[in-house]
Amino acid sequence: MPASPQSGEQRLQSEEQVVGYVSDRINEVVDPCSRAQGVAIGLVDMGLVRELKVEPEGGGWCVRLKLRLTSPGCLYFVYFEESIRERIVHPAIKRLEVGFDSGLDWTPESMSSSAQRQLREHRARLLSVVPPTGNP
Amino acid sequence: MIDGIFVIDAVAHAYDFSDENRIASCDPERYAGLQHFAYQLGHFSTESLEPGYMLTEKEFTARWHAEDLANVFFVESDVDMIVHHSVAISSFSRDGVARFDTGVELKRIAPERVLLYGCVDTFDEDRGRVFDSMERMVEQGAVGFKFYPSNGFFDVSKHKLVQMLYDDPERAFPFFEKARELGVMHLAFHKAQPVGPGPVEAVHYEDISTAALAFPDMTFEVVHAGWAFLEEAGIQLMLHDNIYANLECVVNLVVRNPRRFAHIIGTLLRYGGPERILYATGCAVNHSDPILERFMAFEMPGDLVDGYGYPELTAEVKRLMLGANIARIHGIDIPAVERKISADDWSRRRAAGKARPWSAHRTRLAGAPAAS
Repeated sequence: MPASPQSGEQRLQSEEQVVGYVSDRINEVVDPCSRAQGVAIGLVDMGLVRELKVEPEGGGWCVRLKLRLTSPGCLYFVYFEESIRERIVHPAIKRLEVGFDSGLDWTPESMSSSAQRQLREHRARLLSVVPPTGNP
Repeated sequence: MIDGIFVIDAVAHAYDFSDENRIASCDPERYAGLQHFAYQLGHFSTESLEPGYMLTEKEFTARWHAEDLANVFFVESDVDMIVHHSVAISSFSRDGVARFDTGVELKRIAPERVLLYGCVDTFDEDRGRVFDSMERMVEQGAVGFKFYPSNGFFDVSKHKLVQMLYDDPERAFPFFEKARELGVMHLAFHKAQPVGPGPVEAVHYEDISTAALAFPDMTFEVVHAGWAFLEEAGIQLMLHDNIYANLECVVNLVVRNPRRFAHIIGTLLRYGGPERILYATGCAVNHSDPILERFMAFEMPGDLVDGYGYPELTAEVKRLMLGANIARIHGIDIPAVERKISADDWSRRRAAGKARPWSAHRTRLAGAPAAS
């Protein structure tokens, strides 16, 4: 049986609950490049979660997470892993494995529809201040 | 020349990640990390998977010699001219990770085919020494300057990477003024690809917009444009007539991730139009031939034309990006160059058929004399 949560902690009694809990925590981690663009998008909405597997272990759960990066050369994988580990702290999660996929096949279509909408709106705001003749 | 189009690769790099080029103050273990990083994320992740193209780490990090790099472009590929960008990262390398002296040698052995951009080490506190270096590079043929926004040091006191923003009138503008004084009006800036652990401001584009406004008579190439901050890259092109998107490494994605490339080139074209986008591979980071072949064969997917409003990559658009744009910037008369190089040694060797990938470099490393 999964360990009992402390008061106020989310109960994680099913695989579905664990996936939901973990996904929410991962999505709290904001992709730094999206923040630099002026649109803060979490890692799940960025489409950076390639794989999330959950299985029972030691009376709790083992979580195996595989992330992908938007491009080769991204140095933020260390920040991603650290930030995720800081957030996923729960007595029912006995082990958390974080790995990175080398497929490098991310495209803007990998983002969630809400993230794509945020970017479209951001783009529209930027374009609204562009003079029609080019140079200001 | 490919399909009747004159090809200028707007970034070539004569790399030197060899052990011999490690600066004494750089810890060998740290240097080994840089070598591995450069190979893994520079070469391995984007190189063609067709037989013969993937280099070993030892092959990639070895010093690249001028003859061997020229062979890659002019004999193993259909490239006619290159712009060699030298890069100084003084915390790691003694002679630069992309060496100016090798660029000079490239120009010596292929004078009509090579333009030189000299590296400016803005992190050298002796500004007079940097200016002297800029003068020497112009004397040796530099027609542009390349700027890199970090020297790779992490400043513990400020808890951030040592970096340079190019909108700084005191720290950055004197270098642009010096370039102008030397008659060099073309500047290129590494952007978009991370240069160290956060923050991202050093590789964002905003500072280049300010610099471009302050120096309207100069051209500013944003190198790796679209690799990140894609919308800003496109809109920057809309706003500033003297900013160019240099596709170094970006176009390399066409080989293994063409849909990603489609989004990037589609956005840049949609906002900036085809006249300020420069084809560039950064070879030897990846072999130039598969990239050029795939780029020529590339068509914008229909669903992205319909769904995102991306323009088609017509033959005319490709012609502009592949050479006409950079030729216009530098005042190159393409038909005149064509005539001059048509009978040079490189053209004669290319006429015998494409050589095997990396053949001269590999031959040299194997200890045999490089192909003559």
